[in-house]
Amino acid sequence: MSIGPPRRALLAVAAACAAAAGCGIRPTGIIAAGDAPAAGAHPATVTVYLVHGGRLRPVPRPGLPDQPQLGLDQLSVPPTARERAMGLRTEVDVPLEAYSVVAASAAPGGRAQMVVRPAGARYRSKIWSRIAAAQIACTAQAVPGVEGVNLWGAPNPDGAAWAAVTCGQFADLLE
Amino acid sequence: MTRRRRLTGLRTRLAAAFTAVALLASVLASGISYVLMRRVMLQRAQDAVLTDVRTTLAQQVPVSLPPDAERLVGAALEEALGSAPGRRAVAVPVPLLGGQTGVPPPGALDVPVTREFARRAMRGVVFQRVYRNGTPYLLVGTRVSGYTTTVGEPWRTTPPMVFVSASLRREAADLRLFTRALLVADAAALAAALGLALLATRGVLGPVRRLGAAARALGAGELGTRVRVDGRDELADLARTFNGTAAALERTVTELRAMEAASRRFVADVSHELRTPLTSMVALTGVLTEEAGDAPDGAAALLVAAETRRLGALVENLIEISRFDAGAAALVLDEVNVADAVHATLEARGWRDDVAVEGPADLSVRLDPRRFDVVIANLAGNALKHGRPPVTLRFGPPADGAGGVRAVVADRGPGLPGDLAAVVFDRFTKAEAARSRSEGSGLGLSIARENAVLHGGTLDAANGPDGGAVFTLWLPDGKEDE
Repeated sequence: MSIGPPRRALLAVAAACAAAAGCGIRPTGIIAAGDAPAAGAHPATVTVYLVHGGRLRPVPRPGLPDQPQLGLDQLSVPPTARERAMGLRTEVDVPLEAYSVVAASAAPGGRAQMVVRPAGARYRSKIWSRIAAAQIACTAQAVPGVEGVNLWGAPNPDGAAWAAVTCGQFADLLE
Repeated sequence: MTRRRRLTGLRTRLAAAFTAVALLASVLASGISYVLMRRVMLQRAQDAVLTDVRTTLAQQVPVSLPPDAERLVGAALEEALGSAPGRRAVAVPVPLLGGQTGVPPPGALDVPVTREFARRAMRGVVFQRVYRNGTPYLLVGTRVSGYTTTVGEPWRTTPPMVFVSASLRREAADLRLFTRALLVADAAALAAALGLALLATRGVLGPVRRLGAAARALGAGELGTRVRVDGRDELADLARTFNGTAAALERTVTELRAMEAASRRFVADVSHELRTPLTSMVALTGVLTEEAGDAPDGAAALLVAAETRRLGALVENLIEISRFDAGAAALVLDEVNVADAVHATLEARGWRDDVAVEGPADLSVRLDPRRFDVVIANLAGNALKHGRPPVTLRFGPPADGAGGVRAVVADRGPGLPGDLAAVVFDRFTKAEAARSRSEGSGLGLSIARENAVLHGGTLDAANGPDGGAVFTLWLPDGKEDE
């Protein structure tokens, strides 16, 4: 049977449509989808105690969402150019690992203890200077709801690796 | 032929057109719905990922960053964006320092990120659909704007870029399912269209077939054929027209036949009426010629007698022809020795010495001796009158074994002129039309052929290879008829 010209044209059109549509998901080039999203989080600032001429000075730093203990991480970070210009420095020279614990006997909503130790095994034998311990204790207590710090490697009269320190013990260092 | 007509027939063409239209429509509809469906599906999937990325970035990245917190932010973003099934996310520092490219390390995502993609991602949200190992992925890249940083150390407080790869495997599977459903639907539509087309064409083709059969019957001479007219469509109109035409044709043909029959009857009546007085006149002129043998006006009497005999022969021939026309001619078959019959015929006409006869002496055929005599006499007489000697008559059993007798009468005359060969057996056809008073009646060959046909045989005229007319007679053996 011969296929007449009109029918052949119809078939061609149908085939062209099918070919143009393609099947399945087609890969694309790089497509722009608008401007970059604007940063919109406004978390509470954290307070970091830096050393200023042998004394401690609280310095505010921007916070991050859901990271109230950010201050302890920030202790080991070199101060910013502006802070350095103000004569601020930090005595904490190793990264810290911190988590808060609540005594099982404590009432709900009770004050928590912050457990702090150097991050990584190679700092296990770390001995903190007094001013560094003061930085850690005061910064940790600046976290809302923390009333004391269990610090690994703090100068301790009985020689134990863990020592309970509070910011109050270093009141003489506060500016 | 029939098969070819089937294939190019109306039914096939109608069904093909019907089916083609249905197929085109359904394929077009499926194609459009497929394209729309795919667009909506992909749009939704892409929008979901893009919105997720935008929202997460806006919620997780603070306006100002603490120094060196990029890894913390990046980890939080990777956790938030890469937790959905089929997605992976990676955060890379914005390339502000030398050595940084903004391209995530290979293997961090399901698809590699090109340098160009990373460059475009610096300026805003970009996405790309990529195939990797046969699976389609959506790759999204962007950075965050609207943050504040420090002039001196911007790299310490710049939020990272984010790249997210989302698998489109589920969308692809949905599309495949949809395609299969469309194909099934198209096939069903095609089958339904074919069935409907066959049903519809049956309604058209039935009347057309009936019309065709009726037209064939009409052509074969069944003038009473009519077609049933049903419905009020064009085909019914056509059938009505056909019936009208057939009725008119039948009327005309009947009238013509009646007129022809009347004229033949008239000829027959006239011939019969003429016969009796002519018989007396022939007898009387015979007497007159004998009496006027020596008289001075004897030549006139002889002429009158000859013309009267010719007139008598013409009337006899006319009566013979009338019998054929009226269907009253009948065969009286008898076992005849062909050689004897031929010799008797020539002897009776006095042509014994003018015609050379060849043929077996023992050939015996069952035929009508009187009519055979007429045929042979007419053929031989025609050859003697219009051709030139020697006239030969060869007879014998047919070469093809058909039975009966085959006789060939040939002369050495000028032969049949080209325009005469076709009409030589028609009535009153004469070789020299201008010579109105020829010796022949113009009916001899016509009667010979009527006799041959009455036997179920044939009589053909042709020109011989070396000049002269050749008449070939074949008469079947009458035994088979009884």
